[in-house]
Amino acid sequence: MKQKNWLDEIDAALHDAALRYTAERYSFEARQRMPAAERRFSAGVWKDMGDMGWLSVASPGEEGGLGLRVASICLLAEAAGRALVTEPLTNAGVLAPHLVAAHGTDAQRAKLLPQLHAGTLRIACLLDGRNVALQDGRLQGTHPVLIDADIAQQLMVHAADALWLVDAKAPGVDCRAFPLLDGRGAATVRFDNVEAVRLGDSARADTASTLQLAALATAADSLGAMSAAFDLTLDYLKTRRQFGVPLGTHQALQHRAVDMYIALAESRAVIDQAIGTVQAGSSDAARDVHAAKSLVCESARRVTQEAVQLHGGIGITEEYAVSHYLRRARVNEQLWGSAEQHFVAFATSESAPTP
Amino acid sequence: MERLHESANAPSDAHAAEQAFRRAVRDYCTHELPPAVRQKVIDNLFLTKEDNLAFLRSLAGREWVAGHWPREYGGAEWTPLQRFVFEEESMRFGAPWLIPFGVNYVGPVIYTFGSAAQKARFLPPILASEEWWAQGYSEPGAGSDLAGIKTRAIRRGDHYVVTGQKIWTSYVQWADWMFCLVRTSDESRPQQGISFLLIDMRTPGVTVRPIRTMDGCHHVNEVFLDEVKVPVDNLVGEEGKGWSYAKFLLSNERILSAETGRSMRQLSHLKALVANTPSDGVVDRAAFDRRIAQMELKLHALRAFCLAYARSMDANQPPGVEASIMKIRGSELQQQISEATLDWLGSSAIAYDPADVHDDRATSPVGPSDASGAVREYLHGRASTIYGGSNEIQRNIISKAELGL
Repeated sequence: MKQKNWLDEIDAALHDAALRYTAERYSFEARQRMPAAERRFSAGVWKDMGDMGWLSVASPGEEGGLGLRVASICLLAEAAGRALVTEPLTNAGVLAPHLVAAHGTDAQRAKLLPQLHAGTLRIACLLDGRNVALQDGRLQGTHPVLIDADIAQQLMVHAADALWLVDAKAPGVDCRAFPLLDGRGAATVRFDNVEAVRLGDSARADTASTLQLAALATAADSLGAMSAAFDLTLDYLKTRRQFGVPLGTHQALQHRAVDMYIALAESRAVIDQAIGTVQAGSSDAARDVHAAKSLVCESARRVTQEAVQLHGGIGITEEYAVSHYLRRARVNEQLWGSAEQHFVAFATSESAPTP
Repeated sequence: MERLHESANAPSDAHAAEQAFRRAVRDYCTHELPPAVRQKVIDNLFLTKEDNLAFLRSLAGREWVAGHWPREYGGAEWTPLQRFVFEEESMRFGAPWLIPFGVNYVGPVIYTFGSAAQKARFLPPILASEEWWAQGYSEPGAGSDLAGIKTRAIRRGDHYVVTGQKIWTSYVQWADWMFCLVRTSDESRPQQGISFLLIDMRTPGVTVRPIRTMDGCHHVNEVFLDEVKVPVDNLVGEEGKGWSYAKFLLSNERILSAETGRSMRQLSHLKALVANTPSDGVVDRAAFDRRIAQMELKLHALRAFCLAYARSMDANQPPGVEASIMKIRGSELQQQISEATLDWLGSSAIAYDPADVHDDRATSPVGPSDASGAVREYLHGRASTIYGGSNEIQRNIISKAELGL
């Protein structure tokens, strides 16, 4: 199949930089030898990402960003999935800047955005609104699993149609951190009568477009994970010999590899279509994102499970990358609306009528 | 949301042009496609030769019979995207499958590889729908492994004498002409001794025997060739190069193989059926709704893939493995939709009299009036994963060409 044509030179440059940086500074083998805390989050890596502009792709040019660049967000997320990046690229690098740029006051934008772009401020966002409420102007409630809350300095909470910023160590905030099954981390966050600063000052804060970016970037992350798992598998089928022949000479295995490949090609098409409609603000955007999150997560689950199976014993080991992709895909399924929730939302959404 | 400056204009112009073309095709289906033919398509009834010809003639007014042909041969030089949009939108709104042997298959082979005399003789009647073509490829011993054909053409003076047997020859019972792969040499690799001949079906020695398929219809045939004299002038291109012409043609065949428009129509039909007709076969409505939604998601993905491919492909390059992907996914989806439709119809879908689908109107004895058509669609649809290179062959192609296994 043909190589993808990038939308513009910024995307092409980001893509090259992402491939080079992750190959040179983020190799799986080198990371396996790191201490656990650094493997979860490296301040040096995070600063590099800020310096390369990876944390500036969701905020407008006049605020010091590169503009809202949906294709850039997704290509970086895909690279992150490929390289099993554990730093909070989507959460702190895309969602927080997007929310601050969209809803913050002049003063908040001027203060927060430069820190977010540079990577000196890490915010974990809590947007699902089911567990934490506003009572008498204060945050109250417990959210069981908030990704990146283990390493965040501040939390952004959507409650009572508004966004609230609170320091992760503020009085009344209790973050109980734990690792996720793929090497990233999260925390159970308890708010007990917590005073928070409101982001913005007037209109109700609509987070729908931010959640679209979150879901789409996560789908792109899973695409990266499944495509890396597929590449490993294809290589293994060509080189691993059994009974005197390479595994890949068996038609039964060839056809399974083809089915993985088709799932990948289809996933990429679905994500690309959603990138187009989200960027254009089209009325199809919501449906396209629901389709992308549900279809790609489902495909990533199947492809990474097949990848483990086709590798045999080595596939289930900690020291070999393929099972890490399976775990990455599994975590992604649950982030920013589960794959199942997006599937149901897709099923109940109508496509925009053709004019 | 903020737009990208770089992409603000060009893509939206292209999008507007695509939408306008979609509207034009839909307008054609509503106003110019003969309503009786359209209704038979919607009801999944068997179409006669006259139905197919009426459809082709109704396209002539817009010069859409061969829209993808070059202008010098009477086409409109459609882009791959226009061609895809035409097929999708027309089939979605009740146009028949455009039987491809003349317009899509042999026509492009003749204008690409044929002589000036062949172009003058054969292209105009194809455009005018005056001559019906059939494809003589498969043989009893050569299906998906097409290079194994044994039908032999021996050169005698200014004629070839052709002897052998073709099978699965679609609609040759209506044909004036058949393009045919024949063996003219045994000496080298099997692919190299094959030539591409045009055979007049009225020639002595040509016999057609119908093969009835499980839907009780007559789509395919056996063709027996017994010392059939074919003028050397009816050889297309060079002797021994037929395999490369056949590959060119097969790549044309696969480009539209996803049939997204048909699946869109069948899935809408199923949703309307579920909304309007109770089922005595389905117990768990929620599970069935979920099954429909899964098919919708598959259709969404298939369309995204096809549209991206059609937008980016170069009409002058043969399609890559994308064509195999479209064939696999399109045919699987078509079968899943028709299976689900029969499941909903329940007991009314075990009644089937082939006479009902040969009628001019849908007149099923039980259940909705078009239940027999749904059964026919299911039965006939079992062929879609077999013809045009079975899905197993398509997976072999992808494995070899793209994955290097």
